[in-house]
Amino acid sequence: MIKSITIVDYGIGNIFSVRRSLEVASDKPIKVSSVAKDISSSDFLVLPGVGAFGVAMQALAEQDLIHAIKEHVKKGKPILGICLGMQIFASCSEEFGSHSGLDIIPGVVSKIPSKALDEKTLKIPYIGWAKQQISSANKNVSFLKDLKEQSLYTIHSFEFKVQESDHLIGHYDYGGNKITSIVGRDNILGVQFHPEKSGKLGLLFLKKLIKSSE
Amino acid sequence: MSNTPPKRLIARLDVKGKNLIKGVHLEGLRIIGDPKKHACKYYEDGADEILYLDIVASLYGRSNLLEIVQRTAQDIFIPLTVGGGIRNLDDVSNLLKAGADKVAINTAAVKDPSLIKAISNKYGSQCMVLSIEAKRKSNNSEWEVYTDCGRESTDLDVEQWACQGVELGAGELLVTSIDQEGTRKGFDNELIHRISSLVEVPVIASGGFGENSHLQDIVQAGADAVAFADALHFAKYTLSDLRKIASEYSIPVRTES
Repeated sequence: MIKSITIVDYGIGNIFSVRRSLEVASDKPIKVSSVAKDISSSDFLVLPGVGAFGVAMQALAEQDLIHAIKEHVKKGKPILGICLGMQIFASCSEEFGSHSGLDIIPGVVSKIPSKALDEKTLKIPYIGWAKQQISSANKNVSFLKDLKEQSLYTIHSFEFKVQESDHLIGHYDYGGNKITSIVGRDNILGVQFHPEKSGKLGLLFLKKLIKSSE
Repeated sequence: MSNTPPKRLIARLDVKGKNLIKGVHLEGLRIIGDPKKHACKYYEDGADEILYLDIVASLYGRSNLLEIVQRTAQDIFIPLTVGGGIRNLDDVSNLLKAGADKVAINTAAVKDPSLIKAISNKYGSQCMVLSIEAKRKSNNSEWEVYTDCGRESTDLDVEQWACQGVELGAGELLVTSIDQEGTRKGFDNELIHRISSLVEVPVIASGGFGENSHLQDIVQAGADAVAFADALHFAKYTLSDLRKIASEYSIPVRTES
């Protein structure tokens, strides 16, 4: 039973829109917190984030939230990571040096390939409405299949390369390269796209996710 | 296989004080109405992004945008880019807190290019849009950078400035042709072609849309996104008209379902 949804506020990115979209998509109370106790005892955690990997991890560490997030995950309660919030699920990142991540989904964050398969230069950051392909439906969340061929707003220069292929749930095509779009295992789901910025489809995604987590 | 994301169709709203306005060549302003009301309509109609530009903020050294941004972000769930009168990191922080996703900087970046680097370091390059107002020089084959909404010339060359901006960390360029702006005579295709071939970040073309073929021309020139203003504000076109035109020309755009 999800009594409320908690957004982790660690000073990174636009919490305003994430909060508003959850308010519209769900009738649960939405809490915003940077207190470890609230986060480890939350029913449903949303980890947003925009910017640099190292900065985000440092902010979580300074506010003593790394352990709290891991505690929440260990209890088997649902967590949604959005954009950078999803990338920091990784073991580590190669963005501006080497940084450790939360390490709750094994893998590495690295730069999006700058060349298409036909050797043409690809523009980076990728900015646009990426058409989703669902690679694996291993995760017990059937509505993710509904995202197939749907366009969701995506903006990034780095991507999450998962170590275990069954943690890769969705991707999109960029110049013939498969770019990671959705990762997950058990109670953990991470999306590269911004559901809070993807119009009605994004709101519907949030609604279905919360419902399926009940 | 696709080498580009779907082309984005952006609704551009120039704001003066509390009003949505529209001019020609960034001059001769006409009041149209409440910016939020229009932004919400464009969101409902399927715009890919909303762009707010406070066009007198740099003249008076203040911005009215915060309150409008806050009201708008309550009800639209697509990216919101905001520009006009942003001078420092505090201004950026306030706009992001109010619900903006990206900031567009022109005048302050020209005065102090290191601001581009400071913003992209702190908030990521995806947040830092360099806004360039370009006017053809008398030789007709080069462009000069203007600031303060087309009021001040700078001696800066547009192509050089675009490259410098990207090097400093701009993640996207918004390029407005002062010559074409508000004329409905088509975009400055050559300008966008030159810049788009020079830089490896997305380029938003702004200024000049008036008829269907202009969309095809500017996408062929290399625009990654296209901004529409008076065509939408005066209800000459709706977003779904623009989507239809795109599909007639086989231009990839987001499909809403």
